Parts: sequence; C-alpha cells; structure tokens
Amino acid sequence: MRRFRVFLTRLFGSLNQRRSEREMAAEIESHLELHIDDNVRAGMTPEQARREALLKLGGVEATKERYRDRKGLPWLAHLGQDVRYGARQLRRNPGFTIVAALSLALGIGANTAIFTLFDQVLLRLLPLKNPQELVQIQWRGERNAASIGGATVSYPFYRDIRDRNQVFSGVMCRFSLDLSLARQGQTDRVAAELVSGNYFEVLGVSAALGRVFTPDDDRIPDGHPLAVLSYDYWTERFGADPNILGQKILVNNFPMTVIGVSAKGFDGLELGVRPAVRIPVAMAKELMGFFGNAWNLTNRRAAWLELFARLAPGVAREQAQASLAPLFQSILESEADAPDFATFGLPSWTAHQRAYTRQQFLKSGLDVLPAAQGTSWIRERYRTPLRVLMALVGVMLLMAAVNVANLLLARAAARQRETAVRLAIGASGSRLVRQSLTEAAMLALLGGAAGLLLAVWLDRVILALIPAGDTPLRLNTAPDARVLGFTLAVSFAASLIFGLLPALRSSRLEVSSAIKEQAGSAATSPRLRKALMTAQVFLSTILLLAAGMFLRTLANLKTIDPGFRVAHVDTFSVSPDLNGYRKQRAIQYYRQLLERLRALPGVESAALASIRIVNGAWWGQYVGIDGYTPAQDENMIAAFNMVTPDYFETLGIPLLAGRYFQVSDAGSGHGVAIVSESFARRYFGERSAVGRRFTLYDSGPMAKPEIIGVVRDVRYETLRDVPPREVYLDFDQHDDPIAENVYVKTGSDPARLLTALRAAVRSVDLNVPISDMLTLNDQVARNLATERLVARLTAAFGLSAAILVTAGLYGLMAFTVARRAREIGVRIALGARRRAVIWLVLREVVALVGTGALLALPVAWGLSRYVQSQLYGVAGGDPAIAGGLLLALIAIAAVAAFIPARRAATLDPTLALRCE
Amino acid sequence: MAEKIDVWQGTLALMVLKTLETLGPLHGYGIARRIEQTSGDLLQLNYGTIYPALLKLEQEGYVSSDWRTSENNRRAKYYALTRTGRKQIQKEARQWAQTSAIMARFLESAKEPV
Repeated sequence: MRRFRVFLTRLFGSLNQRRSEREMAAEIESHLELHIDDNVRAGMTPEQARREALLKLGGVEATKERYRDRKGLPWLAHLGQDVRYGARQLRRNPGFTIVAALSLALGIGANTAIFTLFDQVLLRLLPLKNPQELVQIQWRGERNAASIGGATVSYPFYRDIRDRNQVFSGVMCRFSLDLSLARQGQTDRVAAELVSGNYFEVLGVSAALGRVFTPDDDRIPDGHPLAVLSYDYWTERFGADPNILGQKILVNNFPMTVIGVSAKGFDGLELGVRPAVRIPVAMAKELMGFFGNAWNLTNRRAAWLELFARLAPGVAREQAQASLAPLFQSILESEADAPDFATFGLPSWTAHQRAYTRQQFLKSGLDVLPAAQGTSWIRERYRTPLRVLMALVGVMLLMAAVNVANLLLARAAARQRETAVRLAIGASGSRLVRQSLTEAAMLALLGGAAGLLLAVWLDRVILALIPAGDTPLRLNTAPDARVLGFTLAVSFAASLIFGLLPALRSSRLEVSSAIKEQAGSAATSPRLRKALMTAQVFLSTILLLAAGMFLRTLANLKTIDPGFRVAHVDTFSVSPDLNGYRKQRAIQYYRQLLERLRALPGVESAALASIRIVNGAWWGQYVGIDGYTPAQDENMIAAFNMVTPDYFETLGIPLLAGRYFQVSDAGSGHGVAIVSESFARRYFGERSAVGRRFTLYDSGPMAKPEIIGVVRDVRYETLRDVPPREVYLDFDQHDDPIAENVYVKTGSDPARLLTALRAAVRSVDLNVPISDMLTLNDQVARNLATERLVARLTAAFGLSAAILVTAGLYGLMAFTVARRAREIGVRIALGARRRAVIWLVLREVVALVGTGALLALPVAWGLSRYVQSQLYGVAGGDPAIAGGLLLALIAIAAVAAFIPARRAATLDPTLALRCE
Repeated sequence: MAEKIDVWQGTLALMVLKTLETLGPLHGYGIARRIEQTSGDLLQLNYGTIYPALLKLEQEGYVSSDWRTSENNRRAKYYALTRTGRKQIQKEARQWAQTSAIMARFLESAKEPV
C-alpha cells in the first residue's frame, strides 16, 4: 500500500517537472547559503566558504540529478526520451516506416480478422450466468426409436432424468424447428424452439417484458398455447411494442398468446440460429404434424429432444456422468421390457435381429458433455477451416515480423557509426536495447492500428462470402475489447520478434572498429540478414503451398459432375404445410402452383421434389429386396426423394432403362418407383432392375413398389459425397405429399426470372412463405462456399507473402551489390564478362530461395496431413502445385534480382574504385 | 586520525528521522550537520545525499515539509516528522537494535577459541 502511494507520488512528480525543478534549485541554493554563513562565521573568506560548501555538498548537478531520479520515475523519463527519439527516427525515414508498417499491418490485420471469427465461432461462451455449469446430455448407442437428430431422447425419458437425478440443479429440453408466424396479414417463416417449461429457469434468462415460461407451462398436452418472443424479433418485427402482451399470433395457423419477451442479448443455444419465438413443448402435437404423429409427450419410442442441464454446485461433469449411469441403466431395463419396445421396428425383423437390437439398446450410454458454448453445426463445420486459417495467418505474421527485422538490421547497419558513438560516450548497452525495442514497439503499434482497420474490412468480406441462406450468420465484425487486446498482444509479440535481434546486435558492437571503419564495410556482414531471408522464403513457401493445395481442392471440386443440369434452372422452397395445407388441399395447392409457373413466359418446365439436392438434406429409409440377403450389419438404408414426373426432364437426369413416371401412374393403384444406377447395380447386379419390386419400411408396413425405370446417379446430400443408392417416389401417388422444393427450367437467363417466379407463387397464396430462392448454379456454388473462402484467403495470404519476400530479397540484394561494388568493379576491370557478374548476383538469390524452399517442402507436406479433411483430390507431390510453386519462386527470384543484377553488370569500374 | 566510514544505504533514513525526533523541524543543511556531529565526525557524508533521502521519506509519508525563515533570516525548507514517521522510528530502531545485537553476538563468539 505504501509502495503504491510512493509510486503515485513519483508518477505525479514526473508529470510536474518544471515546478519541482524550481523548488529543488531554491532548496539547494538555501542550503549553500546556510553553509556559507556558517563557514564565514567560522572565519573563512567568502570564496573559501563557498568552495568548502560546494565540496561538502558533492556537486550541485550531481545532487540535482540524484534528486530528480528520486522525484520522478527515471524509467518513465527514459521511455519518454526513447519515444521522442523513435518518433524522430521514424519520421526521418518515411519510406522505411511505411514499408515496415504496411508489412506489419498485413500480418496483424490478417491475424485480427481471423481471430475475430475464431473467437466468436470457437471460443465464446454463452452469455449466461455461470455458463461453464451448463452441460448437454446425449444418448450414445441404439435407441430403437424413430428419431430426429443423432443423440436425442424422448419426452418421458427427459422427465425421468429431470425428476430422478441428484447431480443437476435443473434439466431442460428443447427442439429446434422452423415455424410460420403470422399477425395482421404478414407471414414470416422463422426459426423457433419448442422448450420445456423450465427452459428459461435452467438457463437463468429472465423476461424483458411480461414473463417467461415456468415449469407450470408444460404440464397439460396441447394445453398451453403460449409464446415468448425473442428480444430481437420483438423489436424488429413489432417495433418493441409493449402492447403485444396478451395478443394472439398465429403459429402455423394456430393461435397462441404472447406472454412475454425474453431478455435482451439472449439469442439461444445455437450459434448463428436465433429463434424468434419459443413455445412450450406441450404444444408439440400442433406444431410437429409436419414430422408425423410420433412426436408427443408420451411416446418413448420417439427420440427428438435435445437435453441440457445445469450442474449442481460443486458437481463435476465426469462425476455427473458417473452418477447418472445406474439411473440410466434402470430406465433402459424398464423401457426394454415395455410392450411398445417389442412392437417397434420393421415387421420383417427376425427374432434374432430383435434380440440383437435389444442387446445393443441395453449397451447404450449417456454422455454428459460440456455446453458452455451451446451447440452449433457452424462450429463443427468451420472448426478445422478456422484453425487452418489461424495457423496460416500466424505464419504470415511471423513472416512480416522477420521482414521488418531485416529492414531494421539494414538500417542498423547504416546507423552503425552513430550507435558506436553513443556507446563510446557512455550509453549503456541495455539502454540502447531498450531504445531499439521502444522504436520497434512504436512501429508495431502503427502496424497494429492499420491492421485493425484492415481486419474490419477483411471480416466484412469474409462474412459476405459465407452463404447464409435466409438466416444470415450474424457475427460481429466490429472489434471489441477481446479483439483489441488480441491485436495489442500480437503487435507487441511481433515487435519483440523483430526488434530484439537488431537491438541485441547493435548493443554488442565493437566500438573502436565500428567508428574507424566505413559504414557498410565488413563489420556488418549480412550473414544474419541472409539467414532471416532464408527464413522468409521458408515461411512464404509454406503459405504458397497451402494456397496451392486449397486452390487445387477448389478446382477439383468444381470439376465434379453433379449428374444433373445446373444451368438454366431456378430453385426455391415453399412451405404450404406451415399454413395448414395438408392432404387434398396440399395437392390442390401444388397443382395450382405448377400451372402458374408453367404459364410464365420463358419457363420450359417446372417440377417438385421433397428433398432439395446438394443442400445438405437427407431422407433415408430402410429397404428390403426380394431375393437379396443382406449381411448381418449391412446398411440397408437408401436415399429417397419424392418428385413430380417432370423432375427428371427439368434437371436433365438421363434415363438408363425402363421409363419415367407418367400421369397415368397416379391412378394405377399400385406403387411404382424409379431407382438410381447405384441402387440397381448393388441389388440386381447385371440383371435388369426394371419390373422388380422392393419393400419400403417405415415404422409400419408399407407398399412394395415396382421399379419402372433406372436413372443416372446424381449427387445427393452434398457435392463432395459420392451419390448414394437412391429411390425416387412418385409425388402424384401420395395422398399427403410434402414436396416443398420447386425447380423451374428456363431457356433464358435464370436470374432474371426470379422476380416473376416470386410473383407467381404469391399469386397462388400470399401467405405461403417462400425461402431460399436462387439459381441452381448459385446453390451448387454455395456448396463450395467454405472451400472457396479458404482458397481465396490462402491465395491472398500467399500473394502477400510473395510480395513481402520479393521486396525483402530485393532490398538484401541491392544492399549486397552496393557493399561489393568495389569487388565487382575490380572484377569488371580485370575483364569479367557481364554474364559472369550477373550470375554473381543471381547465384546468391538462387541459393537463398532454393535453401528456404527446400527446407519448407518436407515441413509443408508434413503439415498437409493435418488438413487432409479439408482437401479434395490433392495428393503429395501434385504436379500442378509443384509446378505452380516452382514458377512462383522463379518469378520471385527474377523480380528481386533483376535491378540489382543489372546495376552490378553496368557498374562503371572506374567510378566504383574511385568512390572509396 | 580515525577512519571515516561511508554512510550505509538505509541507515541514513533512520538517522534523519531520529534527528528530526530529537531536534524538531529542521532544514536539510541542519540535519546533515547534526548527523555529522552526532557521529563524532566519524561519518563521511556528502551533504547532497540528504536531499534524495528526505524526498524519499516525504514520498513515503514519514516527513512533511514547508518553507520557513531560519533564525538568521534565511529562507529554508523545513522538514518535520509525521505521526507515521514517529512509528516508523520505533520500528526501524527495534530492527536495527536486533541486527546489531546479532552481529555483536556473532563477532563475540567468533573471537573465542574453538
């Protein structure tokens, strides 16, 4: 405490210098007068008296200096001097300052930009109270249940865990879905959540207006038609109108009462998904009709809810998982003995298979996973790309730092005599190091500030490149305290890297020889600079190789033939079911829609499909083939799509055998289906598939459709995945079709048609929401968005690295030629050919670039193993990448060496020899 | 003639405080003079060193200062003990006594034959 007080006084003292200077002078003056008075009284002459007093004091200036050091904070004063000196140096040499600052701005800017995304996507915790207490509970293993989501559970199971555990302070469940939300004639399709009554209580989220749900709000099935709006939706859609409380809104055409608005700043548990409204899970039956009838509060054989819990104080996650095990086991056993367990599943299952399933079911486990960050597919998808980018920008920053270190070394060489003089007149080595570091830090701050601006711009560009569909990924690009802190830390770390080397070097200078010798003579051997240059080539080669690999990946992906026509097709989704169109009314709606679309000028055909291909959607079902015996663990799930007869023509999918669907199939009374060539080959081999039948299993028995045609394979879930075995069902045969995806083929520019399409859909029913309307070309391109983003960014990083390294090489070679001017002059005077002189320069460049690149190759290929999942069709030693790299390196060497080599070759020997 | 000893770091502060306790408010010159006299002219003291020491004590809050007129009509900066300064004297004097007692005992025992 006393120390702090002293520090403050001294800090204040160093600010208030002029006054303390005066007071100190007065005090010493008065001291001398008192002493002289005494001396005179003792019998000295005035001169004697004065001399004796001064002697006894120990020198006026020395006393003042000691006093000053004590009065203020000497290091602060020195820092001030260093900053002023540094600023003077930077101003005196604007070319150097600009190049160095720009080089740092590139490195720091790229780091800040990627960190901003890295932080928000991968590092942030949920903005809740004690988020680290939050966990997700996931089922691991066989559930013997109809399911939505891979690790979800049934509602009765949720209740068991909630009521019988001893390790959580609360357990809640949620289901995430899209809903249609209407009020006063305006319909939106919004992200929504079905939640248990204690959802807000467990998360610790309060109401901004009205109230949030309580456990009492999900007791009676279908009995709680209530809604809590999110703060953002309330302000955006309802203009923050407080009168919304108690009003009714239509949710999927079902009236629900708004009881409150959740707290500001709470978006939800899923990054990038921001539910506009939350409804009690008790209302599932009304809102889940789309998914079928299995999803209710009593069915144990329907797994659909995500479970989240808050750990009780003092309970560790592992402890909670261990303590849940006996409870889970008892639930498993009672479920396995219940009657619904045995009747669930495919009717064709043998007793043996059922026993196997039961055995697998009883082996299931329950995982308690950290959920402080919530849950997110975005995080999963971008985790590796972001890590790769973060590593690459790290390399780039290192490179920028080395580049600046080299520039500083060059300047230190030029300032060598000045440094030597300062050492000679008594500057301490440590003081010189401190001064150099101060200057480096100033340079870093300059670069950091410019980098921050660059980062904000870069983040905007990056986010614009991430496809978002109708729900944009809202990340914040404005730098906040964390990002500023990161930038500052990175800047200072960089300044240490590039500042320390030249600083230490200059402090160890041989004073006498440095003063005697000419600047730029042998004492400043550029060996260190060459080593740094090699390091730069090394780092830039890694960046260039990374760019090559990701560009090649993108190029490879672009050559993938999706198997369907991409050009001249528009696509969009409608959701009539969200507005209550089912069965006959839905059929009617779709028929009308297709008629309107086909009537538009320029439209050649229009078709419907239940699955939007190459858009991440998947509909899988079990199939059984007569005469085909699957292996015990063979996956008999095929990919499905339900389409109208025009689908194949609209998307240009060629028929290989049999025929397409016909209108007459609709009334034929028995099911028909078309299969893909993979399906036909797998189950029927060389024999013809046409005319054969297969069994289609759902939770109950289904028809046995006849195969009437075989079509070519098309990519299904994504562009990357190989085409699955696919089955096409006939839309016209279904009595409750859900086919929300529309494809329209046109002879002209598909982008121009979009407005007309939108109007046509509106003309059928204004209230049916339209989503994701774009050309098929754009939608396929969206598949490659991540790859394109990574490829573009790494290409930009590679290019920046190439420019940095070229500039660095040029600087070094120009310096070398200037330093060796006399030697070169002598050689020319002795009759060396121009070509030999050029080779003299070139040789060094080739050696530097060659060494750096050769060192980088094994490292880069080694590192490429870590990004294998992000690559496509890129093998080690890919000739295109190797060739590209070689060309890039030759270009770098040529550009860097051209001017210095020419200068060396055209050197006038008489001038060169005379100038010494 | 007796050897003169340089003032040790740290002891000067205690001497200054003790001087102020004995004589009351005093200027820097007077304090330096008094310390020299008290030591029986055995201490080699640069008067100039008294000022940073006084400044440090003032920063620590053990002394306070103000400008006054001296008995022979000179303006001078007078230093006075504060209350924490008085406490500090007791504390440091105790520590000093302990240290010197330990040293004395150590030197005594070292003299005895082993």
